Amino acid sequence: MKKPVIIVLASIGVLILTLGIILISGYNKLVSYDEKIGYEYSIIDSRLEMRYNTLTQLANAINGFQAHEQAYFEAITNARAAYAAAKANNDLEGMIAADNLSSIAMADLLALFEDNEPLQAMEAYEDFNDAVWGIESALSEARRQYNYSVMDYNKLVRQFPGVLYKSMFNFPASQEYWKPAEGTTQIPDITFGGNTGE
Amino acid sequence: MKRLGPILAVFLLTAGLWGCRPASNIPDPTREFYCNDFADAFPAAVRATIVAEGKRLYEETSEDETISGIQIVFATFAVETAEDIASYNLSDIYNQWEIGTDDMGILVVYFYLGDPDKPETLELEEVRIEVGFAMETYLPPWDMGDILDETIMADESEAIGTAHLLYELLTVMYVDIFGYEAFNYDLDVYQEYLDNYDPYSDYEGLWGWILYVVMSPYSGWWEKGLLVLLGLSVFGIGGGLVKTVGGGGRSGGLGIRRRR
Repeated sequence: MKKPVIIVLASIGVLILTLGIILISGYNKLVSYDEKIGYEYSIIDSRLEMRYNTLTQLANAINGFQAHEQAYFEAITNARAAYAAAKANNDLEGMIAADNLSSIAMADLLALFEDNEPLQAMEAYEDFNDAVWGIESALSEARRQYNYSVMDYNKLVRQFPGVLYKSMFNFPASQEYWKPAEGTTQIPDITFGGNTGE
Repeated sequence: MKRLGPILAVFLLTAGLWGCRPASNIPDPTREFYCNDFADAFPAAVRATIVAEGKRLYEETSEDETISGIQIVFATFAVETAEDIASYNLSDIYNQWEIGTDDMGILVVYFYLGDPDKPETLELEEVRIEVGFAMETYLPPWDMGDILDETIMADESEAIGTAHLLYELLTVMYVDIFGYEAFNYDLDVYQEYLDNYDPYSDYEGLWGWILYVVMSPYSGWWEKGLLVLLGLSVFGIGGGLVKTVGGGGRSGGLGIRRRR
């Protein structure tokens, strides 16, 4: 075989190899960014579960103190059911709406504690304070990390050459941010007139 | 092909930069790692205790086959207003410092209010604890809250309160996780240690040896070489040789706080 032919064939081989490596690494990057969103979502999911459990405990604690405690139980149950339904349908907007519902239920319960001294005198009162603050703080962090991973993915698929890979490998054009309703993301500033809860 | 090379290099280089975040303003942990007293608020004795106990706990739990290396890290920050505290995200600090192997770590942060340039004006404003993912099982928020209430929020002296907090966290680690029957400590004895602490006591032997190597005509070349290596490792070039680092842990933001 003549020397120029060998050079051309070798160049084509190197080019194909390089393109192959670039395609594989681009695909792998898309997969890892997509998986990261799934992982961060799983943390939000577990934090929301923790929040529902705490809410149920809080609602149990007010049993007998409040004539309308059934309304609180219903609010929590509705929020939990709405979340489960949205999750089953892979409906992110529905999940965010359910997150907002449980935030409202939490705020209502906290307000009830704030207005009732006998509730504040309960032995488990300080523990509830700490549980609520800890879980809300963890949930806020989980949402933040989820949105970071969505931002990373969206940037990747909108920039060149990610935009090519996205079309080539049929990945979603963008992912949705976790945007809770205004005011529901704030970690509750728990005071309840106590001196150590804050 | 000659022209394609640089283009390909730039392409590959930029491809690697996808998804980069803005640079973080979190300081690197200090060389002591377990005690990052950026506010310069802890007495030397307390710093020494935190570092010694932190190292011991990490070494002991790393050697155990069933437990990952647990790290308890303290940090202090001076802020001018209480609102400035919000600019410190403990999860970011925790994750950047990678505290605890397999997420078995604890970060305790003290926020002091006052003029950061005048440590004598600083007053403790807020104490926070944040734990790694795996530590959440052993240290839920209500237990963290109880520990803070019984230690730093209850003790009159900040130094004793900090030592008390450290020993209570160690009690949870050694008894609840490590399976010890008990973890004993005596705060009266610790107060005596505080009162009689000699900041140079830990270094007496080392300084004596350095003076001997530098001044004495009887010191050997191997000792001089060792001193040079030690100097390099402490003052820069080989800093990584002696710097204690985190175990690679991550936090999910579960924590607690108390204000004074």
